[in-house]
Amino acid sequence: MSTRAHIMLAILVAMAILVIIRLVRRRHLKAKYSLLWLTLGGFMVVIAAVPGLLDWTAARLGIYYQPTLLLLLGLALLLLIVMHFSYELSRMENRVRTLAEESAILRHRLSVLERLAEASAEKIADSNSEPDHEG
Amino acid sequence: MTMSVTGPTPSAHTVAPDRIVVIMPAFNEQEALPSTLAGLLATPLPLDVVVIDDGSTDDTAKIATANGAVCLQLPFNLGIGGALRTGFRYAVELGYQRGIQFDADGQHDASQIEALLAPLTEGADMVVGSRFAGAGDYRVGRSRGFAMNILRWAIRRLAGQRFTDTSSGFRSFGPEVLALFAAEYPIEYMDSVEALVMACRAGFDVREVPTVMHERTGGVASNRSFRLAYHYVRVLVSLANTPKAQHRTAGTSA
Repeated sequence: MSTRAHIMLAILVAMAILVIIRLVRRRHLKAKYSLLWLTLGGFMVVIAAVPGLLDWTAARLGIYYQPTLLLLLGLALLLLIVMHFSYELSRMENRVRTLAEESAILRHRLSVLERLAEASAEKIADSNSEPDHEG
Repeated sequence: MTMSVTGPTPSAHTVAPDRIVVIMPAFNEQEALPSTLAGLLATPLPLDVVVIDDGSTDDTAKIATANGAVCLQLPFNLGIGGALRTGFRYAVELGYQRGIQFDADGQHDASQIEALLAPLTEGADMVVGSRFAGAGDYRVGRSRGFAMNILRWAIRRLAGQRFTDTSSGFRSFGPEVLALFAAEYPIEYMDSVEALVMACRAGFDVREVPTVMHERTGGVASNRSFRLAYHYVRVLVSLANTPKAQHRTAGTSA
């Protein structure tokens, strides 16, 4: 990689890490997700800081075109993250669905209670005002 | 950390043991509801009709309560499976011992309910009202019939039992199946097929009775072909993954 590309990469990584930290501190991002992204950021920092590392690792793994290694790793990581999100999403959907069901049942039962309370309040009011009245 | 969704818990106020809950999912069914409900309430059976308003944009809820039904209003559309599970949860919470699944759109006939309930008293856990087992003159198109044949074959292998109408939504349930479906019911379209296999593989005694059904009186039939094809494949995949669990020792042999 050229020096210029290196500087670009370093700036991008620094910005990404700053954004993640900011999101976590404002509680827009849960810590468990931030860890994931911060790990990725750290990884990028190492690659950006040690120019020879990627080439060296690729050579060790028998990969002759070094960027392939980067793409491979990136793709694998993204795939894992997306799988994790699908898992989380399924779980969330299941919970939201159950909450909706519960809310429908509770809403009905609350309305039954309200009607009962209203009726008994009227009854009490009636018996207080007209003790002889049969209703 | 695993945290599964818990099933419903029975409430203190249980209903009388002879009451039968009619679970009726409804999505924008204000036209069909009055006659459907009238038909149900005209029977001499001790029926409590529960309409599950699946996020309707019309007056489904208002019309349901005005016509003598209990209405459970979902905050947004969950689809038929979710609406049904809401009904099952309600049934279990109130301690109903028997339940009926009944369509709001008028294709089911209230006069057939007694035939649907009869096997329950003979020890069945679930009964499916079939359009094709002899009674009535309900017809489906050729391609749909072909697809249904393949599905029927797969179900026969998985359920270990032959059914003539696997997608029928006219069903009755005993207390144990109500509890099973309250805890987990297939939530996506074509849920009825999955639910059938689920009950069979759980070791329940599932039977089929011939019933008469009508053409739909209102609403839109869900048979747009792409969507149907997608769900058809999805159902075949998920059927293959239905766990086999012996819920209880097998009941009386059918």
